[in-house]
Amino acid sequence: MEHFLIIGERGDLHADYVGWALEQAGFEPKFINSSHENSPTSSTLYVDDEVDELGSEDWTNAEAVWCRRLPKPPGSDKNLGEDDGFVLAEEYRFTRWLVDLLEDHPIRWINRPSASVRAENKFLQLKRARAYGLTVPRTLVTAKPEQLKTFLECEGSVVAKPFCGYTWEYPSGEALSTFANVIDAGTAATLSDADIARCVTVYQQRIEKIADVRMLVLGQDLLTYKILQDGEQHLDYRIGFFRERHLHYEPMTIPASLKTRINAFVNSLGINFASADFALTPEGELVFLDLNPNGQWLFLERGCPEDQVGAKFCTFLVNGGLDPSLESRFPSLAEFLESDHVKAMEAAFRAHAEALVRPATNWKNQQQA
Amino acid sequence: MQKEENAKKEAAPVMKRLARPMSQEELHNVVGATEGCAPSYGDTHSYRPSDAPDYAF
Repeated sequence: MEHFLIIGERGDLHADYVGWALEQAGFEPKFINSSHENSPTSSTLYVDDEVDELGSEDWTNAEAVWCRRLPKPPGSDKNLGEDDGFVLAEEYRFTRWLVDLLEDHPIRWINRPSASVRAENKFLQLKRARAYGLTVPRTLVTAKPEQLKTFLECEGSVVAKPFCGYTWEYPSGEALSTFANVIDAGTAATLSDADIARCVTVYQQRIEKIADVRMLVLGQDLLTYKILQDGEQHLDYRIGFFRERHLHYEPMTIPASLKTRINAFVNSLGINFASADFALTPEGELVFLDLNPNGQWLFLERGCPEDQVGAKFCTFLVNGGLDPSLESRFPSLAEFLESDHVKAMEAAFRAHAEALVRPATNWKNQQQA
Repeated sequence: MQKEENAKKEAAPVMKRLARPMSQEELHNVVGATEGCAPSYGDTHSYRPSDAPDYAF
């Protein structure tokens, strides 16, 4: 049976859906992460002057690898046993190093990890996008108050955004999350120079837009969707993501010449999969904002179920490109969410959540008791 | 006025000044739902890996 590696974790919706859909279609998915359950601890490595068995044969025989998420460093779990912290840290490195070795094998990847990490660089994205003829917003990255003030005077208002999302969570339960925000003269008046100097921030030309656009890059194929908001219009549409009937998705086609430029741009980053974000102007121009080499995409199937984005992704993983004749083999997200597999996972999540709120039973506490 | 008040406080990053208060439910569901989430967990705080995973989009 053809088997496919998924570097990621059970419990991640995207990885879990794809793993399940592959199984339903008669393929064998194998998960790689740094937990006990799925780590390659069954692999034994050996090397000497004549033998090189530094690698997992099970992995190198796979048809393709999808790097959904690199193994995460072990966190501090209050219920860890005395040796668990050490074991998990060692396993994490073992897995990461094997994944690194896997990059040297002639195996088809949905984003080699090294390329994926490099392609996350938003400065590189802007430079490359511009070089390949895409329109990008005027962008200032600074912690200098005078620079921001001058930019703001020229632009009238600008968009501020972080390099990466962040949430401040307080013991009281209060939380603050970063989203893209407009800074106009009124907002700017609330910011002290010390605030501006406190942290380098991305400031961009505010693009007049009639819709956001999320584009999935699947090799040379592009699936493009307008994201429209009903009622209150947020600069960052994610704010209204879970509001009932607030967001609407519409598939759209783009000109062949633009597709050619986007394909060349993404290829130049060394990746074959991405979720790219654009702003659609009233004139119909797509302004490139950024891309994520491992962005989310199943929400598009929820918004446009008839497009079968999930099945398309599975086809891309097993086939290396889209093939409509293969898509029907893969069940939909809706079928997945109704499956016994999901019911079992949800029960496991509840048990895990309950364990988190129980008093710590780690080895230090037991010694003290 | 706000600027003067902010100036009296300890300086905070612009993105924190502009950050949006989130309920626990919103936090659980919205953050990380549609954005990229870096391949390296260490690079993002939007997924809260210490929490129980769920099927948030």
